[in-house]
Amino acid sequence: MLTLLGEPLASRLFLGTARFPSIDLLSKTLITARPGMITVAVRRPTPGPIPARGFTDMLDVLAIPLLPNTAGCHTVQEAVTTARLAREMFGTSRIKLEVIGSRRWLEPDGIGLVEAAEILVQEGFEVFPYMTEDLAIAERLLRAGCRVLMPWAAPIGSGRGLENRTGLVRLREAFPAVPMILDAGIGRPSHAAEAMELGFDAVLLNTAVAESGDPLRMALAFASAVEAGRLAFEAGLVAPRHAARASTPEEGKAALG
Amino acid sequence: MQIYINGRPCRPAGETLAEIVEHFLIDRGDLDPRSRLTIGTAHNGVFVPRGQRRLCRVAPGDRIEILALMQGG
Repeated sequence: MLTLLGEPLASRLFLGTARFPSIDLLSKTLITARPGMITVAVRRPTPGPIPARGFTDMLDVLAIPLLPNTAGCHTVQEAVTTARLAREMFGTSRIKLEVIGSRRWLEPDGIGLVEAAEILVQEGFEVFPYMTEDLAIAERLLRAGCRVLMPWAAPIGSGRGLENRTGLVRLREAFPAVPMILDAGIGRPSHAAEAMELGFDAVLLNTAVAESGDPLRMALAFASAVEAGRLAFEAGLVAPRHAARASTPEEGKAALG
Repeated sequence: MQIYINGRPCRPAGETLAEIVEHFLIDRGDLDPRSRLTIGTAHNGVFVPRGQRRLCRVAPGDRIEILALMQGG
């Protein structure tokens, strides 16, 4: 079981709640997969075919720990204001802090991220910064008071998996005691398993489940993959070798040739 | 006097943010009860806590955001 910042969580799989075909299917998926945490957002309540109706009631009933985000914020001011709104609206000081640089790649703006994190930590927020695998930014975020890091695997919604595996391994090794949640770009259960095998504490994903042919079954597939990857990490993976080595011992082999 | 609520130009339905929110919620009868209770507000880009909406007076050209809990990734 994962205990994050003193709170025991049901799973190392964290799920986003957007893009599901219906609130009913989202609800069934969450009940079945039992994610450790779910992400939520602050938006204008635009009238239309997908209103908020039912969503807030569902949050109350399921009582899964919430992680509000500052999705879509491109400036420090926007992100800080959104975090303050989210704290009042969701009743939690946790915030998935996004300060986005490139609009095409939705790449985190590391400098803005540090600046916003410094402000929010001072105000008592528990900041979960959505970041790249940059070691210097990680160092600055920790110095600002972040107690969790959320590096990306790949651009949001791209489903490309661990694009910079080496960089992620370095980040994991550089701060072994810091809880790290791999977020964004995870497209397949095998990507989630890979992240867990590398020693990440949890994975957060949304599109890969919500836009799959069967979100409920896909969420279960991810939950299994996360569990398998974590078990493998805890068991200790055997290091790869350059050449073959027979599994069956040579010793005692009959002379039959 | 014209202000902007969630980006749309309109005449304010009151002098304070509290009054404007009240009228907004009357107009938006489709929002569920929990959403209505947890509405968040900002005035010209600055967060206004629930308890301070009565003290927040609006002026011409002000930008008001009235926000709800939504699904997110």
